[in-house]
Amino acid sequence: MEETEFVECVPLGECGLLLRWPQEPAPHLSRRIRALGEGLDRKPPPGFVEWVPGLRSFAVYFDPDRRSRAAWIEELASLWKTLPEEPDLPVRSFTIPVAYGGEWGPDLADAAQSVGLTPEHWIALHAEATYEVLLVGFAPGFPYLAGLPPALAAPRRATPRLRVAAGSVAVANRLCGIYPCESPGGWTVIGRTGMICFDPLWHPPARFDIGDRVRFHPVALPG
Amino acid sequence: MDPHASALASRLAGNPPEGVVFELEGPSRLALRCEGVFGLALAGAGAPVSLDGFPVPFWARIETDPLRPFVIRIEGTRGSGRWSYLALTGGCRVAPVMGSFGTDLRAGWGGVEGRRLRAGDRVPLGAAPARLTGCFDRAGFRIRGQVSPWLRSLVGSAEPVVRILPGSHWEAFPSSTREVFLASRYRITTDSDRMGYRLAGAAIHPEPVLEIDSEPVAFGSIQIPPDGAPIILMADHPPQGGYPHLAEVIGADLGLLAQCRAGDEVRFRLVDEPAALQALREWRRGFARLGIGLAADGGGGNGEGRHA
Repeated sequence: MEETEFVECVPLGECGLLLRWPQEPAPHLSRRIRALGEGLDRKPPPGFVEWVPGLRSFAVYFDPDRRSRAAWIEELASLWKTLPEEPDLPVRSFTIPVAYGGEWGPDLADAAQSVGLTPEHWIALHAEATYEVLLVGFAPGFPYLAGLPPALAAPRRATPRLRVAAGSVAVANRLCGIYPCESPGGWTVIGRTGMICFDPLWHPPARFDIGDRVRFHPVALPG
Repeated sequence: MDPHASALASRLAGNPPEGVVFELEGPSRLALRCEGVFGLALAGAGAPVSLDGFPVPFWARIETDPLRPFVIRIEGTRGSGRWSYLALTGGCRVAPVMGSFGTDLRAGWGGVEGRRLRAGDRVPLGAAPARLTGCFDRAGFRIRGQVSPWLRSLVGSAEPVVRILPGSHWEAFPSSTREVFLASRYRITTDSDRMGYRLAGAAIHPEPVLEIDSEPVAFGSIQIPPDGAPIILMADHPPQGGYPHLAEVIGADLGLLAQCRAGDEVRFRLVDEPAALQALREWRRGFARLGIGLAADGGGGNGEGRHA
């Protein structure tokens, strides 16, 4: 197992602190980052405001008059050390119906062609894989999913779209994601799902959390 | 958007700092018919305001007769500043969404149906204060303590100099580039919004080019996208960003920055963390003093006096 000591520790303004890990984003690291944040939620230190995860980073926001940055660094370092190598998280599994290609996934044909696959083969590979949520963010409820087969890696679009439809399933580099609401976006859109990823009235409001497992199930839609 | 002005409006109205406020941008206007209201306060950019036709000032607590309905009119902002706030004593009863009374216009949540207010909307009042504040003369309201000029200076300036701390990628920018950034004036562009203020001016680039894995950002984070035109993340920013993070606006200057309109020019001054903390503490001390002044009924400010 990789060693996951944080090496970089930088201020995020006078009320924030950013930790960065040197390795590539990976499920193992993300799960420990979630466990670190949940550790703070369970026993909030004085002046704690909130924590925010990154792909290989973690921020804590705090009141510097209640507890200094130096004390926060110590707090997080010791909390990190107490975390088990494999934190016990309540992870769930989801199967997400996706209409691939056509008007639902306008970039599928190009994405398949650029890696020398037929769209059918591309879909089969995409739907065979199991994904894991590395991070939820960017837009409310947007899951960053690891586990895209290397053969399907696609670059970001040179020019981001101004509007990507809600429910769009998209890939970028080695990641897959689902747009929870209509927004601008630079990812390669390969399909669409009707599954709702976020509702402010749910508790918690995001459907996915770090560590959850996701599979995609191709569905045929008329037209 | 302006955390200082909105907190001041709330405090002046006798509400907690995170209480419900009406936010007005630039030229937008509001006419509100109020019933059962014990008081109100205005803070922020400033605009002509009248209560049943009588002009009333910003930066004061205005006590009103709850038995007497009145109409408060706020005209569009003229001159400097972008955001104005109105707080009603006791606040308003809107359903919190994820713990906040705010309205997210992009997502359509919170506030009144997740949208801008429009003519005909009714907003129920929050709990009224326990005591009546005395009798009123014919005007039906009176003006209490006004904010010191020092507090007022926090939220508006003709030539704003925004203080910054180094961001998490500060070192990735050559020192000559950082000097250019600190020596330049930047203009707030018209495509700025609640998510981010975009700046036009000297382009900034890290060397070598940086690829960022999305990482946490804050209100006030200055990001540099590939075209080199800085973007300052504002109140409705996403939790993570994927662009190099040049600098961070200090907490005490977020209001000053938020009040800049499209076309306004800003400059940036690098400070260290002790200076940022000192500025934060000055703001907090001023804010706490304001509370003491208002609690000592009538003795707290320079605006005591009846309006008739």
